Amino acid sequence: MENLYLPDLALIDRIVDETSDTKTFTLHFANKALNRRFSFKSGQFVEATVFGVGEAPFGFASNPHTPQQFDITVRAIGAVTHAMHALKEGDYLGIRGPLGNSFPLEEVTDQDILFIAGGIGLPPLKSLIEPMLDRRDEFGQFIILYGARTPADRVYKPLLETWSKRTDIQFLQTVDTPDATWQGPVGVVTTLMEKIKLDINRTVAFTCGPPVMIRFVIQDLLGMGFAEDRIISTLERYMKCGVGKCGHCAIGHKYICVDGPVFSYRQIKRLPER
Amino acid sequence: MQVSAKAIVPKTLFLEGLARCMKKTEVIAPVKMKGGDITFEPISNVRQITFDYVNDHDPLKRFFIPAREELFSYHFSGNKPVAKSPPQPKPRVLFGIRSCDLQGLAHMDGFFQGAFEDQLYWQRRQQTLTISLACTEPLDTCFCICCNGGPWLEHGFDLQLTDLGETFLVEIGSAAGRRFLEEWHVPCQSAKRKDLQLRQELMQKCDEKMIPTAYLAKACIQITNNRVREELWDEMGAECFSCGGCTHVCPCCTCFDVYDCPQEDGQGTRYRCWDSCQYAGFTREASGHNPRAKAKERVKRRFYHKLSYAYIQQDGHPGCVGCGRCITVCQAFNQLDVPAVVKRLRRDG
Amino acid sequence: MKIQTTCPFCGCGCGMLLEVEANQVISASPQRSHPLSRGTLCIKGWNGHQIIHHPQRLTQPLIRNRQKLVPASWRQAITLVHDRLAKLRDDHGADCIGVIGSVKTTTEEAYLLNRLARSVLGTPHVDSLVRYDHAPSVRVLQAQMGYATACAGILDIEKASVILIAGANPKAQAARVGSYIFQAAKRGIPVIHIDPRQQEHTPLYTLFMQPRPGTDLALFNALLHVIIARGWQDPGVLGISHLRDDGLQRFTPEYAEQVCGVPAHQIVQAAELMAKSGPGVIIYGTGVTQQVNGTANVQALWNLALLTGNMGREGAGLIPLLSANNMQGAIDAGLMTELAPGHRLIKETPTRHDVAEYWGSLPEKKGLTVQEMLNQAGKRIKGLYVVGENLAWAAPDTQASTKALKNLDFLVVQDLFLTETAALADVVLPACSYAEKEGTFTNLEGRIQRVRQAIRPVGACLSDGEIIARLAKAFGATFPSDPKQIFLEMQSCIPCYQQIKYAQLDQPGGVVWPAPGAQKGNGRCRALLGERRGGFYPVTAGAPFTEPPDDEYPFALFTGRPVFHRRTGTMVSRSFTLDKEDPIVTVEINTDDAKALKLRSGWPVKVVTRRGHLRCTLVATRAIAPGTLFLPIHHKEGLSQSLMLAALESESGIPEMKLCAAKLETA
Repeated sequence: MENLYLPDLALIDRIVDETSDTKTFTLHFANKALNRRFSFKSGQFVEATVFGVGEAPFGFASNPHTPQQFDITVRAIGAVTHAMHALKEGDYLGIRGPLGNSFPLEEVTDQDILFIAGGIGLPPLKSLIEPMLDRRDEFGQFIILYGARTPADRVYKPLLETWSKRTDIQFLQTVDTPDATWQGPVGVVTTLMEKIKLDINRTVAFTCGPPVMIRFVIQDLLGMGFAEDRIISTLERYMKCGVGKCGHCAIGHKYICVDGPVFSYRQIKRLPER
Repeated sequence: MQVSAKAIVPKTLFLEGLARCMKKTEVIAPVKMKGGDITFEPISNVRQITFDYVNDHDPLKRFFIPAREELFSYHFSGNKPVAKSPPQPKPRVLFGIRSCDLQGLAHMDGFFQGAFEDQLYWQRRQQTLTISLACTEPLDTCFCICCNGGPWLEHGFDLQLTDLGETFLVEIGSAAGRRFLEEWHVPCQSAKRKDLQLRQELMQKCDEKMIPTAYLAKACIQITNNRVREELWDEMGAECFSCGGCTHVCPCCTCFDVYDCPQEDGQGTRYRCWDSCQYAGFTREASGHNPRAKAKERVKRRFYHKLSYAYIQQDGHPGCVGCGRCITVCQAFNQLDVPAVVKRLRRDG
Repeated sequence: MKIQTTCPFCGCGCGMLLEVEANQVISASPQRSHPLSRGTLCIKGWNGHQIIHHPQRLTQPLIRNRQKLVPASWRQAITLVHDRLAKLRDDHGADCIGVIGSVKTTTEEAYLLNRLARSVLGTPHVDSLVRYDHAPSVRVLQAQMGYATACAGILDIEKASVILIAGANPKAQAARVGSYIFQAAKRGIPVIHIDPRQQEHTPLYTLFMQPRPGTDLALFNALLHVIIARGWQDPGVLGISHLRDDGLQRFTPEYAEQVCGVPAHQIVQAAELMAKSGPGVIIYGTGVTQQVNGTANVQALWNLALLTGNMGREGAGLIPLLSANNMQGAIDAGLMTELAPGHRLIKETPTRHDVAEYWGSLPEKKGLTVQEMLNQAGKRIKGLYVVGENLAWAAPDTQASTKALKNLDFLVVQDLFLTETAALADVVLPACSYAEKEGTFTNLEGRIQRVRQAIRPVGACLSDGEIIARLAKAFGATFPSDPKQIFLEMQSCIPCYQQIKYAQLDQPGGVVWPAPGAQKGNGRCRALLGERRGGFYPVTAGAPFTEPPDDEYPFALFTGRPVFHRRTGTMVSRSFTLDKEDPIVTVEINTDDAKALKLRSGWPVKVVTRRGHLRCTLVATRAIAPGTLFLPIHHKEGLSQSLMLAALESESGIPEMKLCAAKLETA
């Protein structure tokens, strides 16, 4: 039996500034053997430690097929995330993971795919979008909708650029508050749904973002006639241990950290506190 | 010497055996503090043990998940952190544990195993021999009979003692318990039918003396099916002092939070400490959003975890052993403890 | 191992057990045998112990070298403090030194500090933060009874037939008191709540009267008026030495309704409940005292207790809800400039005579109060010695008080943490927490209880008492060092402690002074007053509050205590669990006002007063009346004090910290 709470060391290979308060960290495990055998699935997460400050959960933001390396995208809002932002390339983080369940991928081949992401909710979806796009021909229509507060608050700007140039996917983005350079749509992400055509019976929708956004997205999808198990979302709670022990992330008798973070709306609906 | 599963030992001789054991192994037993409070402490002499108690106000879970416990310590070698697990605990004997606490321990055993086994818990658990003491005299807050938490148990102990006056009825619940009797030369005679009968009578008397009753069934159904009026939760939420006492003293509550304690020299320790679902900070996210901002939602959560079938099915047991500590500890005098809430739910619906 | 001690987080003084492992306190749990707390603790009691091993604990003395505080040895630190204070005294006279004591240290330490200040340093300027919370209570109760203390015990609440709460939030501030009130309300005992803000438990009470902030005196006087006018008064066993109702005639319920906004029929109902229900307990807090009419308000409540026969019987009396664990002990030890030890006025010669027997000499007059010392900082006051209080943040008008502290020639601060005040100091002396020393705390009902050492001191910390004794020694004075010895000496100087045997303090719950069992029988008040009778002195001329709302600042801003912050948050914000509880500063506004201003709950706003502004999150609520705003005090993320007035009430020297005019801006 191992100490569940003891993190492994990971080195920061690269830090990319995404927005004024968000950075992406590319990491690999310091232990070579561990790094070789390490793998994760889209939707899973890690607990990252800054020693002396604390630990916080982050969804994988990179393609699971990228060998021996992974990304997490971190917005500075609490003590741990601020401390992470102060780190440099070559510094260490403590990492526990992979933790949690994952997005269904094999189960949704041949389906039309709709992604609806808000702000910092894009990173976990990106880790699913990328392996799907690697196998683009196995899926039907492929739509990505992304909303952010301002143009500057959008993460992965170069990637968004390549997405918008692709012809085999439909990528739409919107902002709440435009700036002088913004020429795209303005409004919350749900307004983009009016601009797309869907066959709801063969589409699976994945959504991730702030809780309020998720609520409205699900409401709209249901209104369009989506089946409850064709809406896949992630849930978020204050979380400490990541292994179903500390009790913080429990909703009903489900623990987001082990039973989630990925849930279909059918599952979410059954939770007593929703 | 082959000891039968139910034996009779003169009390003094059992304690002599315990005294022999104490020379090699730490023995934790109930002692009376100045002023009358009971506390379980490592003892150096069996004469320190008090038998004039029903229970410690603090549940014995603290010997398995301490109120504050090291998860690991760390230091830096250059810019590289080096983290180290805490040292292994030493073997010990927990003497005089009551049935309800032992039942709580069984509850925690279930919780800390599974896909993610909590090594820190299990190390302590496996290093601890439990000698429980069946109850013959309940407190006026005890309701273990409603929760299958006592006054005596069928299993879950290494040894279970029942005080029959001059002798203990000793029941052996594990190989470790049997080894204890053999290793420390506790002279055992097979229990006779009259001994078992006497125990039966004592238990029945104890049973009859229990005052609070928690008829759980209806409350469980109402909670499971979300049929409790919101106004009743509102009322109970408004009454709650959010002190967290009920969860701290509950033998079934396990929630903890984690924090780092850095020293000036770059070393430090990560601890876990008991947390309470009754605290607003329990679910508040870094953004400030709090899904259980109101005391009402937190009270509701506590009883969902204690009494919903979703949990009972998962754990095989309600999250309550009937120890009655939540009655004594509650600042909202007799309003929000398990028997009180069960009664309020039953009478309301 | 578990050590039995007394909770240091509020005036209740609950019994608790500290669990110690490897010289670290790992938990606190309730003491079942304690007569008051009976196996309960509040959230602070359960979790407050986390401060003891907080990484920010000071572990060695610090001395200012150029701009920075650098570590030093105790010898260096004590020598420096001695040399600088001695020089100031030689240059400007002893009364250029001010000493501000703590309402949190043990009574023994408060006593030693008093002795150091008055007899060794020879300054009359010794005071404590009792001033900021309960100076009016001290003024009135000392004048009426000779003792500035509660006239009833907490357990009297269990026996009361009616309870009145004025300007206090017992559930938040003194949870065990709140707990007994809750129990009474649940039993059907009528509870009357007077407060500009409705609290969580208010709906459980019989009657809620919501006066406009600052208008309490008219309401209290109207209660007196109704009782006298209808002949409901019953002086009870205590009797009234003289009853003058001069001036009360005009305080009809209708008049009070105009002034306070409380319906006249509610006032009559409250008067009747108070007069006719039987024994009644009146509990009041800083909502009543921290006003320009603070002393008048307390006198009016005293009058009410007297007039309803609630002095000198069981289940009855007046309880000031003292807000710190040892505020009563600080008063007992005479840590207020007008008092000598034992609740006697310093100006009285026999008092000084008694004390001088042990102390050698002491100043003949009272000196400056805390607020006056701050006002005189850099002028009459050159050097200041602050023990265990974060004065910079505790004082109203934070900017002004910080500036005042910077004006000093020499500032010494003794504390557990580098508080905002300590950061300004020339010398910082690291003190032990309650778990690292022996002594006594006296709770809000006069219950003297043992504080026991659970662990060896953290780092190089010394107990406050030891630091004070070392400083005294540097000045050539010898102080007793053993807590029992100090207690025995203290008993000689504090007459109301004399009937207590030290060993009695060991029993669960200790002893309520003046004697074991003093709270029983005819109530504590009777035991204190002896054969004397109470005096009824109506106060009818209330001053209007200093800064009423006007066109520019249209709201009456008042403050109150949330559960999770004690004093300035120095302690509680350093408990991991407690710090998570209440991280967001909120300002409350009436729902209708919010609508009119087109503001919504959750929006960031700025509360602006003539002193400064505070950014916080808006909460629209029906708990407060239109035209008012409510801010929690002592929030480390946003100091309401920075907005408040430092205007002093003339009678007791309490600043009018509760009330001022404010406006809201969008942030």
